[in-house]
Amino acid sequence: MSKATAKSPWVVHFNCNSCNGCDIEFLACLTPTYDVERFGILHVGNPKHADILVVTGSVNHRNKHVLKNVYDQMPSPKVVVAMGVCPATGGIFADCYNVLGGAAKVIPVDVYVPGCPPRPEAMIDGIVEGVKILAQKRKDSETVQAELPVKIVRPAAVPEAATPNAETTGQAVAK
Amino acid sequence: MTEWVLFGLIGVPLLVGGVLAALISSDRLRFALVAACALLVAAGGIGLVALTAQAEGPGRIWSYTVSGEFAGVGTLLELAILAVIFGVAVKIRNFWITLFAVLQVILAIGCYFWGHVEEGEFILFRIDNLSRIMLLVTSVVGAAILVFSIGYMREHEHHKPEGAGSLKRFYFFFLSFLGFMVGLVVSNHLAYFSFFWEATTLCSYALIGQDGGEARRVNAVRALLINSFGGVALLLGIFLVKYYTDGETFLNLFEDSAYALLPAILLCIAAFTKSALFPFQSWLLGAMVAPTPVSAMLHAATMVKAGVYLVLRIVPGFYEDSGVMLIIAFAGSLSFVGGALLACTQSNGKKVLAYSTISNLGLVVACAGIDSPLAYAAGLAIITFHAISKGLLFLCVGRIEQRIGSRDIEDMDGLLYKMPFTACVILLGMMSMLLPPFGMLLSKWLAIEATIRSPFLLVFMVMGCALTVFFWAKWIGRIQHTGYHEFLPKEEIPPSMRISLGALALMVLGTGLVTMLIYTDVFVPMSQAVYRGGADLNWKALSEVSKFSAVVIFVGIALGFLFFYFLVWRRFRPHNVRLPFLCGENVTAANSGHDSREIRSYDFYSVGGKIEHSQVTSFYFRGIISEPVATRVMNWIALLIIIVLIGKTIAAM
Amino acid sequence: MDQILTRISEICGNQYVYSALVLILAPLAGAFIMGLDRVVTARMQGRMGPPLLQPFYDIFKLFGKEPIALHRPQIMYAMLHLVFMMLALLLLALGNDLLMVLFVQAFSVICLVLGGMSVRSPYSWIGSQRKILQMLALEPILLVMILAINLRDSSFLGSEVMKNSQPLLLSMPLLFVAFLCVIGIELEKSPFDLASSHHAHQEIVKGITLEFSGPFLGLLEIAHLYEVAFFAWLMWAFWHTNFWIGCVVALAGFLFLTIVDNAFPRLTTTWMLRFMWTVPLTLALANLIWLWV
Repeated sequence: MSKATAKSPWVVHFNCNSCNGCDIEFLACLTPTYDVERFGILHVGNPKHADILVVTGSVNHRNKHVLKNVYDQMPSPKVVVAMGVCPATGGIFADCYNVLGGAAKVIPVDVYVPGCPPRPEAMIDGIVEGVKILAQKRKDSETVQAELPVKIVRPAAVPEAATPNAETTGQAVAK
Repeated sequence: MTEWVLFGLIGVPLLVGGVLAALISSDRLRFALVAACALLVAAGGIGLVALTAQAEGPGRIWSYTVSGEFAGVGTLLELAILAVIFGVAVKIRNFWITLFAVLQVILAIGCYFWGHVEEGEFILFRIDNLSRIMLLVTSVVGAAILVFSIGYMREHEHHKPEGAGSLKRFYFFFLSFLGFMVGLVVSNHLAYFSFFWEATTLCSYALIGQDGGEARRVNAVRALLINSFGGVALLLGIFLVKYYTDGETFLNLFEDSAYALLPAILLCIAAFTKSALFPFQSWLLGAMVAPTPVSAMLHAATMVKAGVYLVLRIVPGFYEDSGVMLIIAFAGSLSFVGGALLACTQSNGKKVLAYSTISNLGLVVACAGIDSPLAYAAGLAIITFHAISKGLLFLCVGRIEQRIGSRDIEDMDGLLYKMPFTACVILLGMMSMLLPPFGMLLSKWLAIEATIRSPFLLVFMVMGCALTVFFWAKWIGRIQHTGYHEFLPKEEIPPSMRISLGALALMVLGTGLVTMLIYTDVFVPMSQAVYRGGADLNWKALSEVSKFSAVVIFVGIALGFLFFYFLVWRRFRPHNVRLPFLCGENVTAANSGHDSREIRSYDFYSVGGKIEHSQVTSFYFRGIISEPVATRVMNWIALLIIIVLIGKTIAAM
Repeated sequence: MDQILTRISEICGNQYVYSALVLILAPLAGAFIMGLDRVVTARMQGRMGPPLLQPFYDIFKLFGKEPIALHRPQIMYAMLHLVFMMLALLLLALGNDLLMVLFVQAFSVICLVLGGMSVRSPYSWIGSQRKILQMLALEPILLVMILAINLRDSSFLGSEVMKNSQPLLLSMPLLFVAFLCVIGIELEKSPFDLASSHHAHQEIVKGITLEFSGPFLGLLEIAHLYEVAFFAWLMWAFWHTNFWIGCVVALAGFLFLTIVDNAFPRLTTTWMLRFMWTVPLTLALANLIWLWV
């Protein structure tokens, strides 16, 4: 059963108040170039059918209720992936008066994928990590509930010849 | 002995019931009288059927012969009723009804004096299988409706409009109607038949106008008008029967006379008006303003069945004239499709039921016109099953309307929680119109199988079948549209209504259980007894399906329900419940401070914390099909068909 | 060896064993066809796509989720939908009356529609309304098809049809085309994917299946597999004389539907009604009249 869970993770995507940068990159993952469907990932648009909740954008006082609502309507086992820095810490909006400072203030987050926006490869890495956690949760629900460590995914290294921009360089490391 | 039961069945509701009800001043006594009448009618009907079913001979026909002078009595009764209608017409100053009444009087008198004035004996009452079915339907379903009317009218008295008639008037006509209806289905002599026919027209007129008011008066007059036109056609047909065959009974109609076709067709046209087929359907739709027991009794279960009863009685003798029969089948199928199509566009519950009734009656006529014993059996089956189901549905809609104050489908939201008993019963009724293995679906199945003979009819049949599913599914969905409830409340419902609805629901279930059995053991032999043709029977299909016994299906479903109840229903806890997904934040009892789980689940919080209400309605073809235009088109086509029918009849003579 | 084979075929010929085999193998065949559908779609879009066994993973995963629902009648309708779809396939496999088979299948779809309408969700409600409109669009053609089969073989029984030596496709080509349109509607392929389609391109958020989740969605998915097997069987029956050519016909039909699915956008319900009641209905009636004459 957990093998099947690992091979068919369905994703719902919720945009808190994102600038849409991460959303566009995420939707790019669904296109033929990056093609997440080969992992069995389907983008279903509603929490009731989904296993993985992908959160983008910073959580504020207004949309925390909606985020909680969406999270509650998902059947367990479920995994939350925070895409980009906004749902991780608030991102560049962290000092705003209404920003709470990360999705973890509202719902339990399992994987962080930092970046502004993260590259599609990093996003796929993050979702794959989330799938592993999902399979673990599924297996654990048959035995004992365990505390799982939170993963952080770093963006992959860009080949030197490709781009001159230094900010997007990094190492792909999964703890 | 049997004849006394029969006389009692006609006379008790009529004289004892109707007249007494009009004379008694105490309401409680009157209601007790109604209950007593209901019991007597039901017992009498079942008893009569059981007694006459023991007659010997093919078809087990029981007849009651009287001497010749009773024909005069029949004509006198006819003239009496026509005089009453004439008086009514003069009082309301309607030209056409007056004209029709005068024409009918002339025809009746002419009929009596033409040829030999009756000297020999003739058969006055003749009960064969068809009459027995109609008797059972009338007495049993009629009794249930009578019982329901006790609870309904008691409540109705509290908020009836100004100028409404009294309970005395209501029960006088309502009880007498039952007597007339019984007389109608057993009469063999045409003068008596037309007397009962006109009497039911009169009762219908009186009962539609029961609650007073301008709109009801207009509708009642329209009903009287169209039915009077039918009466003219009826009397013209009877006159022609006397003219050509010198006798005035149904048996004379079937004598091998070259001229019997024209009177038969005229009788069929009269039947079309009574059964509200296109183009005569407007009176039935207008009649929906009457109180619900009237709609159930007259305009669903019994009176409109009189028309198709007449068609079914006439048609088996004329299977050789297949061209004419085909046109009758066409007229029927047009009503079948038209009724179903227009029912899809209505949101008024009673109008949907009215159109559905028209549609089903059209199907019976179509079955009659297809020359196949299997189709005839299907027609008989539809009459029975439809009467029970439609009576049940009308009564439920009446009860719902009293409770929620509206008869619109869109308002019947969440009924499963507000009125659980009624909601379950009405769901059962609607499922029985639609689903296997209940009788209606089997009848449609047989009718489609029989249509294979004529591909042109086929188009209508398949379209009608598809459309029927549409409007029933919409309505069923709306009624069981509800939120999560841990327990269903107990509904407060007057005992008479509960008994009546429960009895009808049990009848629906019971007949559904043994449908195949009823078919093979009752309806098919009946149709074989009357059918004089030699066409082949689709026996193999029938026997194959009857192997797949309905009892097995029901037992399977019952087991499935038990399984479901214990494994799912009881294990489902409130923590398994979620709210619907509204792409936003749902308004819940917790976060809104209100306490109602029913209404709020469509609401969500939008900008600034404002609560938005969302609402979805069903699909009513608005902008695509409009009722007036569609009605006009279909009326013209139906009129054309009738003209072709008459023309072809005259040409075939 | 021969004795073993005859023994096996004897056992399979037994009605109960045969029924059990049909009920177990049909969803497998259905899942295979659905997996193929997704792979072909992916290749047409120039990407790799999921593995062929993906539908199995999907369904097993669904049964591993927490059972949540909006209320209990919804669960009942999901179960009824599955049971009656299985019954329809079983009746078809046993060669029973085709009209009854059609009615049972229609009943199964109605149960799904009622399940969608029983929950207080606007998207689900709209999806259900569209689904009954779809049924309205396709019932006439299915009925005409069954009546045409009767005209040709003088019987409604599936077993009688199987005995005829001439394949159905040769006498009913136009009806096959109309039937393909019907399957397209029933399996929610573009341009008819109005009520709830599979690949998340939906304006009413999954429509009729929205409020089903976890194991109950799994029930609906299994019913869908049976439905696919049901229509595959019917398409196979169009060339029932030769087993392999029949399979080719069925696969070709599904392939055609997949290609049309990817090529067409979604259109409106009124267009669908207008289209189905004119073009395929005319084709079907023309075929019927040709058979009658």
